[in-house]
Amino acid sequence: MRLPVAAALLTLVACSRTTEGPTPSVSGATNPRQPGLQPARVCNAQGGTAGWRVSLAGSGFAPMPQDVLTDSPRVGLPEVTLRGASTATLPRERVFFVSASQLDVDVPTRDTSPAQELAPGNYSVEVKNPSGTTGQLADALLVVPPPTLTSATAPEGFTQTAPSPVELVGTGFRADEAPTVVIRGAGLPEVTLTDVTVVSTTRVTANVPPNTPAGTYDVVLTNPEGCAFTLPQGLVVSFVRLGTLTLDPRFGWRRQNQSITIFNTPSRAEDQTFSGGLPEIVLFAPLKTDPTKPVEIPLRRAAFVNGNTVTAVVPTCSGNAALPLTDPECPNGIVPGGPYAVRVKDPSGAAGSVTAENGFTVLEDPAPSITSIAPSAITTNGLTEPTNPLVVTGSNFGANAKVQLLLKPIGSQNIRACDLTATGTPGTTELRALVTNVAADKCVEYTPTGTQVAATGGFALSEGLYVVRVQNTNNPAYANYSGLIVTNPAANPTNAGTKVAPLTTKLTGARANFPLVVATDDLGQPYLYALGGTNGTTALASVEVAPVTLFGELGGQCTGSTCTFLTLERSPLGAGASPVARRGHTAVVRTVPGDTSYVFVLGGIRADGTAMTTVERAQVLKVADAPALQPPTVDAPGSLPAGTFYYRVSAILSPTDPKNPGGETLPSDEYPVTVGAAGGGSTTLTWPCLPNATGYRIYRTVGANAASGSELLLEQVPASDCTGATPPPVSYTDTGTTTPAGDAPLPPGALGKWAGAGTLLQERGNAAARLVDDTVYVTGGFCSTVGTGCASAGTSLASVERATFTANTADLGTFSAAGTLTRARQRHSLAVANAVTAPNAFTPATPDNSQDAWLLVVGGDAGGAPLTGTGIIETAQVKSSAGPTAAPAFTQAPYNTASTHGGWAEIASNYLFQAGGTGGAGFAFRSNLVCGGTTRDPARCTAPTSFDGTLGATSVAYLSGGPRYLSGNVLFRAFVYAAGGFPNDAGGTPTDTVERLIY
Amino acid sequence: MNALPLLTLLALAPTAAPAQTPAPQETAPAAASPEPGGRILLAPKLGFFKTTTPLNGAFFLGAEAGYLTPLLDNRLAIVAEFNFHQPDVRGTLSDPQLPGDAPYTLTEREMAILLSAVYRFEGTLTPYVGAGPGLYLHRAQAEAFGSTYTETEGTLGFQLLGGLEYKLGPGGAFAEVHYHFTRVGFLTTGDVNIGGFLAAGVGYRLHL
Repeated sequence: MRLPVAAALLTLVACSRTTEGPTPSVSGATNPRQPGLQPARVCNAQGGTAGWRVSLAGSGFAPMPQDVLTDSPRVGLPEVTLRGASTATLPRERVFFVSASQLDVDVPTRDTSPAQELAPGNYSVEVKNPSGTTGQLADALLVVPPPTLTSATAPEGFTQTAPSPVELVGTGFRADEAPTVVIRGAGLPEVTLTDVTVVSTTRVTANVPPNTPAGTYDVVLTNPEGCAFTLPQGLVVSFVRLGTLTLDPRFGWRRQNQSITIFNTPSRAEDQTFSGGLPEIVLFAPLKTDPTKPVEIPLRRAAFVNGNTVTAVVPTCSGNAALPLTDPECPNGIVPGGPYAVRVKDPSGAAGSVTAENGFTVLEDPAPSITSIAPSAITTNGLTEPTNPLVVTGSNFGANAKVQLLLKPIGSQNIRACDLTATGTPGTTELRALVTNVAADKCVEYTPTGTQVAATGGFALSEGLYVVRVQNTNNPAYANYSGLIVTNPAANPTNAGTKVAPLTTKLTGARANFPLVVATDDLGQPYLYALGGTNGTTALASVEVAPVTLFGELGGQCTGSTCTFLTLERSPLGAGASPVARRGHTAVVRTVPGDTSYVFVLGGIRADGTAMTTVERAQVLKVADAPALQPPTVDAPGSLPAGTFYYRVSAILSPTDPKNPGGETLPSDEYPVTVGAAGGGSTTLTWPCLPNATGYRIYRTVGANAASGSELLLEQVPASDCTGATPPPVSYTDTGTTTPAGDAPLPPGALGKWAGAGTLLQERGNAAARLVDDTVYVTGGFCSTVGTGCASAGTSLASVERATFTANTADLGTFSAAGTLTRARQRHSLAVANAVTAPNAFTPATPDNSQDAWLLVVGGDAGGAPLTGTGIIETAQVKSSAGPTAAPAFTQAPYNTASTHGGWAEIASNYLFQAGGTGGAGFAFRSNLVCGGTTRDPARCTAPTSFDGTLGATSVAYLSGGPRYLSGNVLFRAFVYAAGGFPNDAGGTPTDTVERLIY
Repeated sequence: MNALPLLTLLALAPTAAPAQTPAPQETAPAAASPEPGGRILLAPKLGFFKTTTPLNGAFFLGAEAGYLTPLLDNRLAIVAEFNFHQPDVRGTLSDPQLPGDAPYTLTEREMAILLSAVYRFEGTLTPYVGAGPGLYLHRAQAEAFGSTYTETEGTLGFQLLGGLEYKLGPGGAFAEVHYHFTRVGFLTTGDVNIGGFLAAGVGYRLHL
C-alpha cells in the first residue's frame, strides 16, 4: 500500500497549481495637486466622471499577460483596495500601470460614474498583483469632504483703491491648507482673491483686489486637493454700499416663517440709505431638500419702510416652496442652524450684507417663551435670598439659558441687558435668579438697530419697570416679558425725569373727560385707547390708540421725533349708523382668553348734556381674522408703471357679525409686486374667502416704489359665495386704471364697530366703573331724565349697579342694582382692593381673605366742588371666597384724606393712590397703605374699618402742570398713565399730553 | 481537480500488472508473425511538436518502453512513454491602462507520462495505432513588464497515435504521429487545450 499512497501524494503535488510572481510593496501615495503632502488628500466628491488621480509609489507592481493562448489575450492588472471608514476595491479601469514602481489610480467619488463615496478619514492602500501577492501601506490616504460655501460677504463693503476684505462662510475648510478663491461674472474678468486665510473650518477670509470691476460674481472656492464649490452669484461687488446692516430678530423657529426688520445705519460718507422700491434680500442657507448645498433663499415680502429700515419674512418653514404652507413639518424649509448670512441689494445698486456671525439662526426648537414671573412686583430691596428668588416660568428655555433684566437707561436709546445671578436647578420650563445689583461687566447694551455694544453701566435696584429676558446661550433666541415692577417702599410715586423717561407721544388733540383704557389684541400686544371725551368745547366720538412697548413707552404715528396717537377713523363711538359723541362716560376692558380684548363704554353725556344709559362694546381686532393674501402675480397687459407696489386686503364683515357687525378686519400681510422696467403690468391677487364677509377692500400703495405701509384704498369689491366644503378663492386684478385714495388699512390695535351691549338701569354721566373678576360695577354719576332713581335732572347719583359676563366670553348680562353709596357723587374714581392689588393685605393666613375683593369709591363731587366732610372714600366688599357679594354694603371708610375730583384712584403693591383736582387749578396726590400697617408689614383688609389711615399728600405734580382735571387715567404694569385733562376744574382747553408715573 | 482519476489509475496499476505477467510464450497465439527480437520494446524519439494554440512549434524528445502482449494474436502492446517539449510564444499587449504596448514572452514546458495500448499489424512494415491516458506536467513562465511569472500545474489527458515501423536490425525504425489532448488553465495561458499533433516524429524501437 505504501507505493500507491506515495504515488498519489506525488501526483497531488505534481497536479496542484502554483503561481509565482513579484510581491508588491507600497511606499507612498501622492495627490499630484499636493505633491509634497503626506498622507495624500483625496476629496470624496467631484473629480469628474473618473474621480481623483492618485499616484502610488512602491515596487513589484506587476501586471500579468493573461489568456495569451486564447483568442483574447489581455493584461491582468494589480488590484488596488482602499480600506478605512469604508472599503473600496477599485475596478480595473481605475488602475493605471506606469512602471513596476508606480501605479496611478482614479479614486471614485460620489460624483463619478459609477459613484462611490468614501467616508472621510484615513485609508490604507493595498495592492494585489494578479499572482495574488499583496502589499499595503497604512494611512496612505486622507479622504476629505468637499468644501461648501453658504455666503460671501464684504462686511466693510468694497473699495476701488484698496483690497476689500470678504468673509466666506461654509464647511470643509482646513486650517493648514488655504483654498483658492476666484470670482467669475458674466462678461467680467475672472479675479483671484488674495490673502486667503482659513480662520476656521467654517470661515475663510480673503481680499478682493483693488480695481475689481463692479458686478455680480459667482464665488468659486477650490481646496488644494481639488474639490471646489461654486456659490452662484454669491458676491455682489458694488462700490455703492449700504451702511451697517443689522437684523431684528436674529432667530426664527423652523416651523414658522419669521418676520424680520433690517436696519441700515450709514456711518461713512459713502454709505447709502435705502432708496425705496423693493430691495433684494437673500439668505444663504441650505434647504431641507438638499441639506448639503447652501443656496440663495430670497426673503419674502421684502418691503421698504424708510431709508433706514426694510422688512421681510425669512421663509424658515416654506423655503423656496410656494405658499400656502400645508405640511407642519415644513419639508421645504431651511435647515435648522446658522447663523446664516444675509445680503441686501437696494434698487439703487447699493449693496450690503449681514455677516454670518451676526446673521439669522433657524431654531430647531421653538424660541423660549415666558408665561409668568413670580413675584411680578418687588421692592428696591431686591430678591437676595436663594430661598426667595425670581422664578421665571415658561417653555423651551434652552440649555444654560440665563435670566436677564432689561432696562432703558434714562437718556439713552439703547437697551441694557444684565445677567442675574442664577440659583436653583435650571430647567426648560423654569429658571430662578436673584435680583440684586449687577455690575457693568455682566451687562451688554443693544442699540436700536440691534447691535450689541459694551454696557455703559450696570443694573442698580431702583423703582421702575424691567423687562425680564430668558436668553439662550447656544443660540440668539430669547424671550421677553414685561415686566418686573420694582417699587421703592420708602418713597412716593414719582414721574421724576431721573426715574422715568417722559413720554413723547401725544394725543391727536385736546381731550378731557374721557376714559383711557389698556386692551390687548390676540397676540397679547397692549394698546392704550382714548375714547371720546371733549376738546373743551365739543363732545368727541373719536377713538385713538397707541401701542404700549415692553418698557411702558408709547408708540404711535410718528413724524420725525413727534408721535401721536392714531385716530381710529372707522371706529368712532356709537353703535348706530352715526357716531355718538360723548364725554363723562366710563369704560372697562374684558379680555377673553384665547380670543382678544373687548372695550366697553358705559353711560356718558351726550353733546346736548344729557346722560346716557348705553353700554357699547368694540372688539380689539384680531390679527388672525385678516384675510390670508397669497403672493400676487404680475401679468400683462395693464397700465401699472414700472416699480414696486405693495398690496393688502381686508374683509368687510356682515352686519350680523356678533363681534364686529359691519366692521372691517385688519388687513392681510403686505405683499410686494414689482412691475418690470417696461411697465404696462397688472397684478392679480388671490386669497381664501371668508364666510362672514360681505366685501373685501383692496389697498395698494399709490405710486411705484412708495414706502410700504402707505397703502390706500384701491377698491372695495363685493364678496362672492363662500359656502361649501372647498369654496373658491377670491381673486382681484389690478390693471392700474384706478388710483388708490381714501382710507388706509386699519392699524394693529384697531377696534371693530361698536355694538350695543345692553343698557344701564340708570342714565349715568360722570360715573365710574370697575371690573371685579367677571362683574362690572358702575357707581354714581348723574342722571338727566326724572324717574325711578333720578329725582331731578342733573342730580348726582348714589346708586350702584352691576352686570356679569358669561365666563370666558365678552357677553355681558343684564344690569341690576348692587347697593347704594352713602354719598351721591360723580367725577369720582373706583379702585379694587384684593390679593392682586394688595397681596400683603389679602393672604390665606387666618382669617383667609385671599379671595376677598373690596370696591373703593374715592372722591368726586356732587355737582361742583369736591366732596367735603366724611365719606370721601367708601368701601364695600364685593367678593369673598363664596363668590360675589349678593348685596354689597357701602360704608364710609375712616381714612384721613381730602376729596379730589376728576382724577383717579388705584391700588397697587398694597398702596392706595388718590389723585385729582382739589378746586380751581389745585391738584393733590395722596397715598398710603390701603389698610394701614407698616411698609414691612401691611395690615390685612378684613373689615370696613380696615380701610383706615392717613392718605398723605405728596409733592408729585404732573409734568404738564395743573391738575389734569378729568384726564383719562389707567394703571398698566408699573405705570399710571394720565392723558389729557383740563388745566382747571373750571374748564379751559384740555392738554393733549400724556405722561406716566411710576409707583 | 485532475488528481482523483490519476490516483485511481495509479492505485489500480499494481493490481493490473500481475495480469500482464504471464509469460508471453505461454499465451501468445501462433498466428502472429514472430517478433524480430523479444516482447520488450524500447525506443527513443525525436520530433516536432506544434500545439493547437498560438505556441510556436518546438522539438520534442521522447522515450518509450513497451511490452508486446500475447493478446490479440501478439498484436497488442502496452507502452509507457515519456515526452518533453518546451514551446514558447512572443507577443505584444495593448491596453489603455498601460503607458504603451508591452511585449511578452510565454514559455510553456510540458512533460508527459503516457500509457498507451498499441495495436500492431506485424510485418516487415508494421503499421500500428494506439491510444491511452497521460499525465501532463505543465510549467508556464511569462516575462513581461520587467517581471517574471511562473505557473505550474499537472493535468490528465490522453493521446491517440499512429505509426509505421520498418524492421531494421534488432528492432525497427519508425515514424509516427500523435495527437494529445490536455487542457491547461493558467492565468497566463487561459483555459486551452495545449495538446496537438506531433508531426515528423521519428525513432528506433528495439525489440528485446
